[in-house]
Formats: sequence, structure tokens, C-alpha cells
Amino acid sequence: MTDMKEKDQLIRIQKLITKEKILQYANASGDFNPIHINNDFAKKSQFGQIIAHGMMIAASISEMMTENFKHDWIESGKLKMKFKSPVFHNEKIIASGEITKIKNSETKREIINSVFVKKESGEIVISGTASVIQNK
Amino acid sequence: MTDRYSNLKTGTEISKEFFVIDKDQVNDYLKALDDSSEDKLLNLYTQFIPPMCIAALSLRGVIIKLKIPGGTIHTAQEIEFKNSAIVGEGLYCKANLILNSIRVDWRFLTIQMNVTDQNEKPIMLGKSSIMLPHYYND
Repeated sequence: MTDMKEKDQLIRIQKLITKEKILQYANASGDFNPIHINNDFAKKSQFGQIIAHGMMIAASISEMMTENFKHDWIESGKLKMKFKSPVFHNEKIIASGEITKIKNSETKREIINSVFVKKESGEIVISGTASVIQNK
Repeated sequence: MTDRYSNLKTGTEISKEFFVIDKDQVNDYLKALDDSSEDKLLNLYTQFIPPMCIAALSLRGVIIKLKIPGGTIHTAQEIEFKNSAIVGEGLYCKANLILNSIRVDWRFLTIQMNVTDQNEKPIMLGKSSIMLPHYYND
């Protein structure tokens, strides 16, 4: 992104969360909490069915930040988020963000964004702030 | 470290581990997420570990050491990436408990993680908040 300014929208990321992907994520991350992978266990939980890992959903924010800020994200990114509601299999999620503030110093600028992951229905799954520092 | 969550004091070291994230692990991680960043960004992640992959695998050590029960819910997360990490590079993750409290039927734990490379260069700082069923191993 060039000539970024406050209130600019970040390029969004959309995903379809499937059981297969949740299982793949469990294997890749080593998080085998049965609420993510065991139908019988999940049915008895407060959610009534398998839910995706919070960090799996949060990764869509990181992907969005990488898409928008490239290497600056992996070198200087900060993310603070709350997991608001679960994501079930076969639900689509959309990671979005907006630049809320740009702080300039002589040699650097910090770009602060409000970030969200929402379901297609608009229900908020994750809300938070993400920022990067860029050299001028 | 005690197995009883009620006995865990703030400041307790939960885990201290060394791990290597290799190319296969990065590929598995990106595949699970359908993350297309690598294609879009000229193979960024053939060289560097995706930052959230570091966060997820750091959390894995905590999950194992704390014997986190099924039904535990991740409520909040803070992450600060300090430097990029190279694929195949050895990383150290030290995790400490910074909050242990009870509200109604749930125990709330907050764990701080500090990831460095083998030269002690900071890679990532993280803070994970989880809630566990209060009746479990208390």
C-alpha cells in the first residue's frame, strides 16, 4: 500500500473453515484439544459442535497484515485481540481492517489499525488492534 | 511445577523449550490455513517462518506442560513480533504464568511467552489468556 492514510481500508482476506482444515491445523500446531477435533466431546460442550482453534482464525488477521504490510509485519507487527465467539465448520470468515492512526517520527512511522474477523452474518469473531512500524 | 492449577503462583515458569520449525512444518501450517501469502509475496515464507506459526507452536509447549484439559477456551491473545525468524533456525520459548484467578465456574490463566533465537535475539513476545473448566484438576 502506498500513500496510506487514516480511515483507509486494508485488503481483506476470506476463508472457508472446514473440518478438514481444522484437523490439518491441529496437526500443524500440535493443539489437539478435543473441542476442535472430537465430535462426541464437542457435542457435549457449551458449543454443541466442533469449533475452530482461535489461533487458526487469528492467522487470517496475520495473513491480511502480511498482504498489506509485507515484511514490516513479520519484523515489527503487534497484535492485540479478543476472541469473541466461536467459528464452526463450514462457516466463512472475513478478516478486515482500517487504519485508525498514523504516528510519524523523523525516521519511522507507526500505522495502527483496528482489525476484525467476522462471519458472513456480520457476527464478530475476533476484534483487536494491529500495528506495524515502517522506515521512512 | 505443580499439577494443580490452584497452586500455580504468578511468576511460575511454565515451560522453557527449544524447537526448530523446518520447511515441512511451515508448509503444513500454511496449507492448513490456505495461506496464499507465500505466492503473493514472492516466496516470503520459504525464507522466513510465518509469525503466527511461531506463536502457535510456542503455545503448544504451554498446552503440553500445563496439561490443558479439553474444553479450555482461548479468550485473548497479544503478540509482538520483534524480528523475523529464518526457516530451520532454532528458537527458544520461555513461558511464565502472569495471572491465575477464578470467576464463577472458570479458572483464568494468562501466560507470557518470550521467544528468542539461539543468539538471544528477540523474535516474539506473546501473552495468552485462557479459561479452563474450574472443576478440572483444581
